[in-house]
Amino acid sequence: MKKIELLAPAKDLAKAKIAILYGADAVYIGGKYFSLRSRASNFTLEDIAETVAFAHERKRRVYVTCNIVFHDDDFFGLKEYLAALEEIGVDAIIISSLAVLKIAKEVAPRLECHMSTQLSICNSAAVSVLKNAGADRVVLAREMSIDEIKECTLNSTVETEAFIHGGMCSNYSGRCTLSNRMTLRDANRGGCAHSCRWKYFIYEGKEMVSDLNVLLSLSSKDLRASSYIEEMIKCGVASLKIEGRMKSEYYIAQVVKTYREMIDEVYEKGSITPERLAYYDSELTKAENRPSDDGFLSGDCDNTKHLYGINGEGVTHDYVAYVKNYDENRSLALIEVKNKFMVGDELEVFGPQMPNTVFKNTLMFDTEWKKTDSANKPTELLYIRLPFAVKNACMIRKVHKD
Amino acid sequence: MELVVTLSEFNNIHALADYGVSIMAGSDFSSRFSYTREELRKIVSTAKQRGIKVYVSVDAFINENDLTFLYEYIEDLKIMDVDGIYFNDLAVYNAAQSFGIENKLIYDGGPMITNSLDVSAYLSLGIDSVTLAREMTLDEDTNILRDHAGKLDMQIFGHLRMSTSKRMFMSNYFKYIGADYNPKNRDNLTIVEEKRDYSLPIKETEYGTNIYTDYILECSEEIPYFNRLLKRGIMDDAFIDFDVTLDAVRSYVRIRDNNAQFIAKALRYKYPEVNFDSGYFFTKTNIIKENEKD
Repeated sequence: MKKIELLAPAKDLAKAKIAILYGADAVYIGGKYFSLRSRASNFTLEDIAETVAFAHERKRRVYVTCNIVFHDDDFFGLKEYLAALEEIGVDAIIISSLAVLKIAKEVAPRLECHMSTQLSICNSAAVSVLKNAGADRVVLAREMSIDEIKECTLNSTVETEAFIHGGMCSNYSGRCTLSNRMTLRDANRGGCAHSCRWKYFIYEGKEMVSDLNVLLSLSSKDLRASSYIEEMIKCGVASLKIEGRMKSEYYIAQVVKTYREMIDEVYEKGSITPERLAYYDSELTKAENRPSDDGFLSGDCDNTKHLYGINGEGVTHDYVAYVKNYDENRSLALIEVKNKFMVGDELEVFGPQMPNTVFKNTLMFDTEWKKTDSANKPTELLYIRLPFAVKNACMIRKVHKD
Repeated sequence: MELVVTLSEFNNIHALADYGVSIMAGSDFSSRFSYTREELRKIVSTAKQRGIKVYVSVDAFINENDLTFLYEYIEDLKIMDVDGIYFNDLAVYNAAQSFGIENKLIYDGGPMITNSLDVSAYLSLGIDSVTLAREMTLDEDTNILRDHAGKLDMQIFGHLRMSTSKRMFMSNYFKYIGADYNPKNRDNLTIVEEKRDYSLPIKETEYGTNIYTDYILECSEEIPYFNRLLKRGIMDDAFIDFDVTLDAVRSYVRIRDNNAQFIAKALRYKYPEVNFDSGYFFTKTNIIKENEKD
């Protein structure tokens, strides 16, 4: 049986490499054009080529999003762009348009075409229509329950992909133009202003019926499908997708590593015990800055799955440093500071293919070998005493006592 | 251009038929209409007696376990001999194709159809027509219309749907604040963002929640641009007094049939309190912040 794919987002080249190093089987990225995340620092063709080389060297795959809802003017340069992606060796494009599907099959037939969740596909009959149109994979809507995902996947003759983690649109994807009205920004062309997260009064006729202390928000908690990984693997979903092309390298590393380990555990041991699931959930919590739940996977989304009053609850761990190098002879790691921390702090190192390890920060030097007690300048390089060996690309986070 | 007016109340059917316009209704798999199957049959038979066309809206997203029921419904619509079916979920196409009535389908993907090539792609499925998104300028509309004259539908009157969600926003909210309030299927609820004045109609049904624009799209003045190119112009009466809708129907029919452009502003003069707007005809919605540009 083909092993399920773990698909991770990446905002830029560095994060794409982090996602791959931490265990993603494939990454999806946005190019400079035709991509829905206008605020992501999107990839040039050179960046895409470098990502593809890095990924293919490690037998991983790269997908490029071309999932804006095209207006006539937006097609300019599309054919050349798709041909270039194919030439570079990109494995697939993620699209939401039947026209783009047709064009891609003509000008870049070696590119797989994955139909975006923008199409909000909820059933196998719709999957079948897209398959007949030439689609190689269909990303399922986030509005489906696990039973619906199972049935749909079993009844489909083309690969399905399901979201497992990250932000949720409060509306069916693509079917929201709140930003157009509120801010003149087109959500379907990368301009989503997250109007769903704003606060609203409710009126019945002229009478206000909302609670002034807690206004209506359309915002939903983020998705966390950790409890469903085993079922998704067993029902034949081809790919598990993490949302978040705007997210930090720390988020990507933590979330990818956790799901990587979960997937591998299912394949190795057949299932995940409740104790192990609790551990994985605690790991995912370390990366979250908004509350999460299982969305529609368990059925309907009731009031416990919405966010009212607040947009987030804060994180329990702070990402404080990135390990650039480790000198085993001196037990010193060269780190890049990300957030403030001090000598005396309890820290935790985590990284690809290593267990999370807690240690007390006892000694730090600057690059001129002067001792320092405080790391408080982001991007500053420091040496830190680490009593155990670590690999490059590990990360260090502060452990909060509470 | 054929005018298609939504039938929110059965009793309005004769007033609309008097103007010879077509009607749109719906039953199962419709977040817009809540007629029973029998009521829908009665609407269809009444429309046929009055000699007007009737279209059915199947705008819901279809769950996997509802596919069998969907096929049964589409077969029933074939038996009713409705004149057309507006659909959103591609499963409806699959079902209609199995009964050989895909040529009665009109794709309406809300904001998804914004270019000529996608219109071609959907028409190549053998369906009757494609509904254009409303988030386009008049120039964009007319360019696409010229490419596909007589093969496109477009909403030309009414509040524009801005969001389609499976979530029960209102029920969940009232449960959260502990209020004993049932917001389902109400037509008199609006939401107002705390820093803006827009009063947005919101409706929750068994299929989820829809939010609409504060304004009513009204395009008497623009009708000449697409009168001969558009196959159907849709007039949606949701959240609007029927008197206003009927006056709009009367104006649109006169402008369409008699080129009575001199009455183009009459509706706005007659109802100065109503928030009429030309929507995105003259407003592009592709603004991004300066620091977000490449």
